[in-house]
Amino acid sequence: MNSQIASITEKRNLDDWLSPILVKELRQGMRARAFIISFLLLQAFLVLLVVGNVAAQEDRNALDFQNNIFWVIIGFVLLALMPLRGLVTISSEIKNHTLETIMLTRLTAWRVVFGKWSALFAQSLLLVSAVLPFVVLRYFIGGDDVVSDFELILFMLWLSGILIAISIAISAMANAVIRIVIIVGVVSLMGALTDNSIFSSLDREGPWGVLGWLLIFGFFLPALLFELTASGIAPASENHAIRRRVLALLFFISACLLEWGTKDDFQGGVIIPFLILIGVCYFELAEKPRLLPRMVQAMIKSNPLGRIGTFFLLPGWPSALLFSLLCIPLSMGIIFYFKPPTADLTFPWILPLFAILGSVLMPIFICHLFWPKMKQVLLMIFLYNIILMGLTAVLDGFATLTHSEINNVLGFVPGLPVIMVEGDGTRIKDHQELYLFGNGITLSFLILMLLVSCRGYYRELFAIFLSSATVIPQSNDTTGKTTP
Amino acid sequence: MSKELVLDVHHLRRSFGKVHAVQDVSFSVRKGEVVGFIGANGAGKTTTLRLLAMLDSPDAGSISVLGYDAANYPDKVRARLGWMPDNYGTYDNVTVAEYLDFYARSYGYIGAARTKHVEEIMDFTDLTSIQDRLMHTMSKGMGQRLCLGRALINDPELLLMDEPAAGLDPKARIEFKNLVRILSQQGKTILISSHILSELGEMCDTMLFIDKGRIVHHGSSETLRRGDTSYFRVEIEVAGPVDALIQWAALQPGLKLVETMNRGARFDLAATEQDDLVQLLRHAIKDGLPICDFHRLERRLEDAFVDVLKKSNDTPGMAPPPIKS
Repeated sequence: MNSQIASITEKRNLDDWLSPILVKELRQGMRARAFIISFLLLQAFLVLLVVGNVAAQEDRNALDFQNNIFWVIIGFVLLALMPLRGLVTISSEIKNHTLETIMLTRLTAWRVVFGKWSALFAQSLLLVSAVLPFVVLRYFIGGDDVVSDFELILFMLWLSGILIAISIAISAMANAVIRIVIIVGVVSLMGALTDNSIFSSLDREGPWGVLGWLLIFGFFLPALLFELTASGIAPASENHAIRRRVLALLFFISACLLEWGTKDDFQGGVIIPFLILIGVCYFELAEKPRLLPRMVQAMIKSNPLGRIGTFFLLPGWPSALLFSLLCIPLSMGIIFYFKPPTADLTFPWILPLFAILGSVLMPIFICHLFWPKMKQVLLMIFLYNIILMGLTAVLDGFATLTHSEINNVLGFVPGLPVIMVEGDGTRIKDHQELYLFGNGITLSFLILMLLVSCRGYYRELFAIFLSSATVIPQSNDTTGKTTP
Repeated sequence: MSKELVLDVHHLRRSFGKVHAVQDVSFSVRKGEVVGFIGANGAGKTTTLRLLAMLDSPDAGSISVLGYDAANYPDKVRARLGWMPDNYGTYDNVTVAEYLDFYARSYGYIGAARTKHVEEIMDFTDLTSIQDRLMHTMSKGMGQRLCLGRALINDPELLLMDEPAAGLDPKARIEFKNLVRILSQQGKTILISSHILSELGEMCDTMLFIDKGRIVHHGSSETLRRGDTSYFRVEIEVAGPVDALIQWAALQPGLKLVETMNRGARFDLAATEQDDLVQLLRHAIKDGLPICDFHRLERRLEDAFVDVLKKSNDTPGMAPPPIKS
């Protein structure tokens, strides 16, 4: 009962180097019926397939059919079954009230999420390693190209890792609507991937380019998803905004550098990180502000730029507003450097910029200033944009029917040009000055009002700056203990 | 010299929409105290405990554990806390030993030290014999012991227990009380919530009553049982005639007859110190009264609780009582 927590100098066993969550999840997961049954069924099926291969060695059609079946099964296990198991990992912990007792330990939310992911990915690896002997057997029996088979398995494993990260992120979300929106989004994206729009263009990159994209996406996308998941379950005292925002920015910058390095015309590799950066900005702007002195002091002490960092990287929409106002125009400028706009507009990138900013600033203006108790701000952003799309369609139809220009009144509605500036910009080409002027005015108003409403927040921030400057260095208190 | 302050809560508030679950709660607990946190269902016990365990954030107010402010130093506070919820979660396919091993790892125990520590915890909570049992197949009593074991795994200085004995059979309750007694002897500070007062009466030094999110009483169990602290109620039985006792009592300063019984009578002694009771007994024996029973009467905790609630309800907008020093 009185033994102390072991020091790090004590001899560690192999499992001591692993995350406690990973150890627990592996113990639990490998006893789970879903894993045992899928493992045994896979083995049984592969044995049958080998037998089938031997029996149909002369029949090329039968071999091709069996080959397709082989990949469908592997794909189902890696890309459907394992990610599906991720969908309940965090939600079951929340439902069983076990997550809160974990959060009281030394484990951070990030380590919990990473541990969960590692356990599922390790099980995917185990399933793949059980498949490998059959891949080699198929080479001897059916004469399949073993190298391309391995490549495909590795790619499936890579995609499985990303899909598991996405499913774990979904499992931490409380709102069912947002969960459904994300699942639909992921399925659509998978459809886009198979529709050769993105990964077929990777073929033109050459092996190193492809490897570069896979590494960048394979690192940043799960890391960002881990952070998003962790921030959903973390105690209020943890600042996940820094890593979320920095990771999204680094993801975009890395993609741009690779694009610049490979000098190819592949656009998807930059556009996806850009869209993710915009998505992160939306997420951040939806977050309520939390100004904990300890959090601010930690940032100030961490590096000389920490004080400036507090304006952009603290949790909550006031700092997210500055972050977004800095990042969105910059990243859009870079995007247009790589892909000059095709729209025949006088201001080809300012209007899309206004569109993106307006699509989020208007709903957060309504929520944060007039509906402060609103918890589902992110949902409101989605709803706002959906409503505007409907309104645009109705007004467009009405304008066509009446031969009027009534739809131009929408030029003053922030966010509207997201759909108006799509394609070649023909919808607004004739009235672009009006749209520029209208949206310029409303956006300036929104930004000004949002900044003014943050004055209490900044007053508090400066008070923490002052207290940090006077108290911390003098007291040299690193324990945080106050005299009771 | 007063003992170290382990828990210090100031003006804690927490609302859920229009429901004010916790309203201006302030109290403090000193090292080694076992505090009973009592209130009806929905009085705000669990919300307060969750705020203390840092599983929820207060709308206002501060919590300090062993001098560390919970808002600014959550890691240091968490390291010193043990939390035993009313509804402990179970995992499928995890044994008792693996469950405790997982939490020991999560608190940073490694290698042989971890194994030894888990064994000690299982030994203390009497779980060794069922260490290989899957936790979702355990009984409620075993589950509570496991939950206590988990709460003790980081050797906490402050233990928060939310309805720990709810749903336990009489045997398991006795075992649980014994464990709390041992922990108290080891110097742990314990805050136990319950709405069943009888189970807290024997365990707690101090009682904290909460009603409608407000603390309506904070004091020792003894004071609570006595009720009005300006007198002691005593019951004296004699072997001879009761009249002699009553005549004798009439001559004693500060002793007032309350009621007579078949073999004795009940009196109120205007006194605040236990020494006065001793003096009274000494006088009675010295004066030759054939006393066969002499004991102090105490209220049941349930009655005390009802009285306190009645008093607080009779005083609209009653401010919380001053914090016990």
